[in-house]
Amino acid sequence: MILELDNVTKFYGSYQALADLTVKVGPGAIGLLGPNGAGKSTLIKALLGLVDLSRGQAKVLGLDARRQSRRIRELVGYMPEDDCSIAGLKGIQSVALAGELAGLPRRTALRRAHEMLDFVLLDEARYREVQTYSVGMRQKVKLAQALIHAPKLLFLDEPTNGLDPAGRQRMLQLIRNLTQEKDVSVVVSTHILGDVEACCDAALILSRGTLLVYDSLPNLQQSVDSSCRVRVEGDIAPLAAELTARGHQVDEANRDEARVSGAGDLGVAIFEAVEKCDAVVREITPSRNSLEKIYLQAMRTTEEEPVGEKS
Amino acid sequence: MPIAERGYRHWEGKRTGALSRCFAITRFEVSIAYQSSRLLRRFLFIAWMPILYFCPLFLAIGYVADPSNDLRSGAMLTEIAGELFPREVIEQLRENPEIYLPAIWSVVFYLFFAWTQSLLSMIVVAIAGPPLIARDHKSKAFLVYFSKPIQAWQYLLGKLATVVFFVLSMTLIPALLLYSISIALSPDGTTLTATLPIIFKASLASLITAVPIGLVVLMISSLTKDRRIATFAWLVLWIFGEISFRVLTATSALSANARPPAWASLLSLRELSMRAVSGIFQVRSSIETVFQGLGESGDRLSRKMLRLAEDMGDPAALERPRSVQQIADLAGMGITPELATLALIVLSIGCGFVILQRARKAVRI
Repeated sequence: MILELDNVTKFYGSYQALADLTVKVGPGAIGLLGPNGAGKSTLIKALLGLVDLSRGQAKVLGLDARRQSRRIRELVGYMPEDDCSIAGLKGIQSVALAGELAGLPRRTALRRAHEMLDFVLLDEARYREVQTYSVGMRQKVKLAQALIHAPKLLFLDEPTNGLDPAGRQRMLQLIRNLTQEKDVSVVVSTHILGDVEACCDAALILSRGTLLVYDSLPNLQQSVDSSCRVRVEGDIAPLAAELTARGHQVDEANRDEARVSGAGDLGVAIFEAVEKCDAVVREITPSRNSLEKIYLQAMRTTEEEPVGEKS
Repeated sequence: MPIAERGYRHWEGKRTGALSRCFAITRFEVSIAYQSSRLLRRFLFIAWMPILYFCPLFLAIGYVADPSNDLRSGAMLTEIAGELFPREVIEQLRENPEIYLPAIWSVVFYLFFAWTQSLLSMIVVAIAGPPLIARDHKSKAFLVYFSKPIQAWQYLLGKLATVVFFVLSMTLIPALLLYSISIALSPDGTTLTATLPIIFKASLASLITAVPIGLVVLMISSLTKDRRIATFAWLVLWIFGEISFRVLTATSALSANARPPAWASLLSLRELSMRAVSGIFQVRSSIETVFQGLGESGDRLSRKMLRLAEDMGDPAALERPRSVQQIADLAGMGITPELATLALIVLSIGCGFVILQRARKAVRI
């Protein structure tokens, strides 16, 4: 397990930022989802030992977040959401400094700083001051800083914030590369559902400090009703009519495409209808729940159950 | 598997210790400060200029201390030494250099700290110190530091070492150079053995100047995001304190039989440091040593000098050479060096506590 939370609670004064979170998270790429103010950043800071927990116990890579925070920060990389940099340093210097702070010897830190900047594709700009960088370049430097000490687990807080579409794609590609090829577990905190769908294996949804959902993406995306999307060559109307006649519900999306739902073995029913109509099937896809649907569903559930304030 | 992969690789190696991480902060901060401020570079250069005054002084002391040298043929050097010490003292020095030379050196090294280097240090600290934490507040750099395995005290030590580095480069390093030159110019090898403790005293004096000043400027820096406000606050604290101390001293001197209040030294950070430094160089006992050998007249003279603050109305005291008066001023007034050291320690602890609290709070936001 990379994370083990047991009744993790955090109060800021009377405001409850995290409410009795209990979950065990396995390795891989985890999407930490939630709207602004859900407690995502607080949870990450608490796991790094930067914020004291009011109650409960948190373990990161088997280490206690309260007592072993320094060891945790040796094994974990953190890319903060905030635009943070050390003023006056060049890109290469700021990554090398991050390495030295993590305990890398001076020469090793400089060599790895170059490697990390190569990895995030920041070329000649590394010799310029960070303050002159665009948002995308700063995100790359932050990722390089988080990676320089070869962490086993990486916390990325809103990694695609402020990036243009190409930059976003590149960042997601880097995250995928890290989890799939470099064996680094990643927790991506974001409110952009597409980012989680693009690079994560599981999602953990928070709202107002409470845990709504934690499951793998394939499980989450499994359709709760049995339905299929059918695409044929030519017009789908004859096939739609046949399926309707057999008691199935058909919603035509396009001239050649429809969503079919109903009771019984839907696959057999579709193939029988296709045979009867002599249609040419191009694609049959079982319907999936979109993450957005799950997310909105979960949000609706909690909106009716407000999180209490400290008594 | 690619033959040469450009990019991420794992790393397993021995990590450096806690102090290396602190000094990594210092190294980068020194580099930023040095590269970004032309004013700082100029002042670091100016800080070495006082050596040009003190070197001839040590040459003159070395010359007059050697009984084989004729004072009349080296009239210019005798005159330079006479600027600081009365003729009776020079005569005693020629007769017993092994007793008087270490005492005179202590006094001169103290003057090197008190007259020039302390003032220049305050200016350099005003340039290099205020941005150190204020800039991290503004650019949210705390998260860069504290997301790595370092603790608040390591951060503080790294920043403090930056200020200490600049102060030492203006106090200790010129003092060591001055000492080396002075040894080279001294009459014989016995001077080295007699004056060796001065190296230790200079190191201690430099640290006792640098650390409290560094912590005060860092505390001011930690209270704001704007380095200009921090610089202004530092200048106000220093100049206002200095003026207040001088005004109190002057008004006390003008009123008959009145001493300047002991707490007046607490108003000026520079004065407080110099009081502690005077204790390290044992200025009072050095002056007493120098004048004890003069018999009754010397005893009277030394007592007079040490009580100069009380005797400002005495025309005889005012006839003494101005520099000697200043030594006596510094040695005989204000709080004791021990109390000054204690005050600096308390101040340093207070400032360190505030900085740590501010740093911890900044990360939590």
